Amino acid sequence: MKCRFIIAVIIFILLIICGVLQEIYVVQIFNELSNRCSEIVSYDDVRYDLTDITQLHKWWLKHLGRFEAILPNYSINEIEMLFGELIGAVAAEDYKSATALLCRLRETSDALSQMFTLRLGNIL
Amino acid sequence: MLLIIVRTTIIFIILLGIIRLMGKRQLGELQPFEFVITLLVAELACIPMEDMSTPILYGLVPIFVIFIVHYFANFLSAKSIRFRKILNGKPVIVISEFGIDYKALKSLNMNVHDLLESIRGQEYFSIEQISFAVVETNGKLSILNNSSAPSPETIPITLIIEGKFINANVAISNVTKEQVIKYLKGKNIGINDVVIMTKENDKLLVQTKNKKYYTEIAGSNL
Repeated sequence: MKCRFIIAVIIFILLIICGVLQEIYVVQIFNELSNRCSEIVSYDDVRYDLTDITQLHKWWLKHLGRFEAILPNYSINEIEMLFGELIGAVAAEDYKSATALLCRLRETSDALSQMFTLRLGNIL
Repeated sequence: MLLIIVRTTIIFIILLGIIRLMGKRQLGELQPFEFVITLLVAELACIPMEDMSTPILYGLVPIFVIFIVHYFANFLSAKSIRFRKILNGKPVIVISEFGIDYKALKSLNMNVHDLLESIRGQEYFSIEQISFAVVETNGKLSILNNSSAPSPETIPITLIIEGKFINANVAISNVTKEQVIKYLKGKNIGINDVVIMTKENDKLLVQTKNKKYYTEIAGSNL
């Protein structure tokens, strides 16, 4: 009985700690992605550097493995597809499309950050 | 993950409330609390199994949350009788020495048909044979035998239940509706007040709302 009580308390504490840490991590990474996109995006007639985009993608890939374990795959796939299109657009020197895709990536990151936050709207 | 914890807890509480509101007849042999857990855990375990895009954590975390809620609810119900009553309800006496407790039966969302079916399931064919019957929190009926009551010679035929004639039974009991109505009028009983009226050969058993049942040999009365 006492053993079960201890297990229940440990699981409870672990769940709360993991939950809080996961939320902080997910929100932080999506916010970071959004900020990095904002830094790169420009509405003037600019040429994007492919290295900037691939570096951003590499940074994202570092977190991808962890995200696959804690988030539904559809949200991660969406980001991955956007990166694919973005890299393709910059490589093809289609900078207008690249701007649109960067904006979309930024907005998607913001939306996902909101989606996985503990707030009344998400609970209901 | 916090979202899953909160959502699972909310769904659990709501489901428990709904099952409690539905009454005991839905439960079978489980406590309402156990029934909710059985429903939820079975379903939750399926989510990560069938949906490959969902991380396994999305199935495991709610199950752990249910374990914790279950554990602490059990813990609290062992400590507090009031909490146990809220969680599982309390046993209710539905048949006493006065006969069927109609109000208690309605509070359980049961009707006289359900009760008769349950007592027949335990080999009692007349409420006269029963001193007390209690509907337990898991929906089972516990019966205390009335040893002084005579065993029925044949199956008592139910003529009226809850103020309504059972037409098929009236047809096979060698009486007519008019005769029954006349008999009840003679006793100053309105048909809507009758909780149960049975006929076993010549023996009648009548119970009205808020009154003890009586039996009598009908003879020329019916």
